[in-house]
Amino acid sequence: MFYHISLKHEILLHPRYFGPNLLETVRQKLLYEVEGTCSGKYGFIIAITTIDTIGTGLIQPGRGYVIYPVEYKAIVFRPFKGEVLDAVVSQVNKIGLRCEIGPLECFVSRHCIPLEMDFDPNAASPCYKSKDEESVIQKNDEIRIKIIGLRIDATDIYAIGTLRDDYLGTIN
Amino acid sequence: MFTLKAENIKADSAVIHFKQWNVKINSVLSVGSVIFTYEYEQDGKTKTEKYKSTLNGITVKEIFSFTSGQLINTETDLLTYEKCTHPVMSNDMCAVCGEDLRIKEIQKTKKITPKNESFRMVSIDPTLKVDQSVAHDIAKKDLIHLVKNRRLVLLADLDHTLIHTTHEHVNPDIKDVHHYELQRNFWYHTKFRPGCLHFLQEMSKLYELHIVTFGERNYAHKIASLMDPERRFFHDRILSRNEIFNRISKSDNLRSLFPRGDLMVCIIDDREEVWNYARNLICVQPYVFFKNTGDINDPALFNVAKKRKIEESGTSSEQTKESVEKPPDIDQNDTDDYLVHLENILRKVHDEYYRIYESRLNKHENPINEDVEIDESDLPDVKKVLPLIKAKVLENCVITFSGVVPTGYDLRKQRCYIMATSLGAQVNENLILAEDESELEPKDNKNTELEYNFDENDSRSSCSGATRSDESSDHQKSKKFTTHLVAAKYGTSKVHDALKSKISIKVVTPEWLINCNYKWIPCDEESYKLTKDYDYKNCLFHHEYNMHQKYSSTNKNLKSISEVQSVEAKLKRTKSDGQAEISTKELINEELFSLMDKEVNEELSDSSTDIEQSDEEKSDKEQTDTESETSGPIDSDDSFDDKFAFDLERDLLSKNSE
Repeated sequence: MFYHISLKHEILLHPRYFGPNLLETVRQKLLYEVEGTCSGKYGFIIAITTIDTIGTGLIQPGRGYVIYPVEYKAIVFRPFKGEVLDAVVSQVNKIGLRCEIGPLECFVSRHCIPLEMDFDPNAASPCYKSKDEESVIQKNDEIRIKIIGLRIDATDIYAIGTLRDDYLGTIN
Repeated sequence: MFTLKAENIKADSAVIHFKQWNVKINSVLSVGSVIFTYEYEQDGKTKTEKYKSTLNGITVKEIFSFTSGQLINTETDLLTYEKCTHPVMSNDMCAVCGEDLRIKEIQKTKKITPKNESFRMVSIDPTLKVDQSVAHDIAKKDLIHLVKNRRLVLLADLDHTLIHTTHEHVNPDIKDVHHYELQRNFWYHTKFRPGCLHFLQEMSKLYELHIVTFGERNYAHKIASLMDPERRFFHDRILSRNEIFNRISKSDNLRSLFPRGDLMVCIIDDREEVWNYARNLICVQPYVFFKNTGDINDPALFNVAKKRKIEESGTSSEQTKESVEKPPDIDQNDTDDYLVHLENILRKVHDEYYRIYESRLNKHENPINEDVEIDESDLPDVKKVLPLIKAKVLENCVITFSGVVPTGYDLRKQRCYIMATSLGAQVNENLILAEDESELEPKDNKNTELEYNFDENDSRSSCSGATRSDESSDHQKSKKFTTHLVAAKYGTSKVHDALKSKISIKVVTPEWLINCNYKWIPCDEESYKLTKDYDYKNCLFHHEYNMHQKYSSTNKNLKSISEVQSVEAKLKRTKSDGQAEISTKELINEELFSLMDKEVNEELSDSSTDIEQSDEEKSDKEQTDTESETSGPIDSDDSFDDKFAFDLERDLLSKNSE
């Protein structure tokens, strides 16, 4: 699920940046340090929309570095158990398939792929397909999955998905 | 055992009628699978609704009986079930029920494994583990798929087998060399063995190709993408050092990749020891294109190479200068044609394998339909087919060695002896000369294909039957006289006798035998004729003898001699019993191989301790050195390197234990 929330971050700046472009540097550094990261609490930080306040910098005694507290708003992506998401298949093997939901990696095991679909190693690229070859899932296909398990570490999220439910599977 | 209640019935109506079950005992349910259907009335109409599972990975153990139309409510017990056994794990999460096993296991402070043995069946993705039942299930499907397509599995090594790679500066004009950079400022130059792509193309029709290499992961994938940009040959079947369990041996991964055994697996590699001298291995003639470069991914040199890498990156500018000055010695005309021979060998193995399989199928009274399940007991074993084909190569040869084995060593233990016997030749210790030509005429030089009678009842004896043993006894007579003298020096008495003899005996260098062993054909003796200026020191056997001398002690020699004697005794016994069921040659080979394995293991353990010792000695020496030169600065680089090596080793260990 996507959220638009306000977050805080502290920027540590080297004294060489003290000059006319100081605040611009702080902005750039914020984008560089924050966008594309993942925190267990909020999920993946996709994009910063606005920078609300750049607080007063505090010079570190004895070092010369300065710390700026920054408040910003960002779009975050936080997956949840039971959520239905669209994914792109990145790898297909005999145990299951791996897919990507933007930054989130997800594995769908053979046990969670509909029974009528079977692994076909013969094809040019390995795929899962039903006997009548009506539905085929192979690499780079778009599929709709439901998340059944999540592990949320401090800096990464990993998901397990299923295709065994109504309206899941390939998206036409 | 847990009980499932019908808690999630959606209908508002209180009157709900059971209709029918949709599950059976022992079926595995996941979220959304239908357990039963029920009916209820709404607005005067009867509606049918499905009751779906909200739990994942549960196994139904007992279903309570309901009659159709029976009233149920949210308190009704439906069935009993068992929780998920976590048969598939991805990144330490159960891929069936989605449970995070790390949290649970950390509480128990136990290692994370599925209940039973775990298998990492997908070589590209080591985080994916499956338990035994699933592994066997999948492996069975693989097997059926292979047989239906009449294919086998081929595990191919990269360095020195299909390609040769160097880090040294290479003249950019040389044809067919691929230059690429995997780390910054660290260039790799790779030459494919001539005919490599054609070889892969042809072999991919007969074999399912895998890459198994001690190279690093990105290196292996880079090579695969160079060889096979469309991923037609290898797909994702690439096993690199990052996924290999053991640092020095590749054979540990076999069980994980092929949980039902390696019946259909054939291996090509230039190093026998990394596969523990497996019998389904075809030892490939090492491909060397860049003359000064050995195996950059030699497992034994792993730590050294890492160290060197760091040193080199530090002094890269100097190094390039140096190498510009003296570009390595490269033969522009690459005349290596080994892959043609290898292709022939692999074709033979494949054809023979399926010939045997089909002959076994035909023995069945009811001809088996392709769609009916394949009986695994019908499948021959590559480990048995391969030695049989190999044993036909020098079938009609009787070999005597001269100057190859040092005096005092047991001939039967030597590599050359094992090589010769595995090629089907008979080895005589002394030169036996025929009186005249007529005696030499082999009686049954029919050159027909030997019939392998695979006895179904006795799966252990791969080659049996009266015909075979009769034939071999006939052979014994004709094979009395030496046909080939493999000599390391020109001056020995055996060489003299052979050259003087009326009957032409081919006097050849050990390279002849080695090349026969590589190419699996009787090589032309003329080109390997022994000359006066032949230098044995460059020969493979000589190196091995040196190695052996270093590590073996007299005790072990005695022991292995006694072992050989026991083998002989066994042979005699079987002969006297008149049970010619198992061909003697096969038995010899089998025993010898087991002996060799033992030896190798001992040698390995010995060598490792040796290395440790020598390291200790070295460090001692260094200490004394620094002590003696009290004014000299302590070499800090060395200690850094040592520390680095230590760290690396620890990382590896922890990886292995994972």
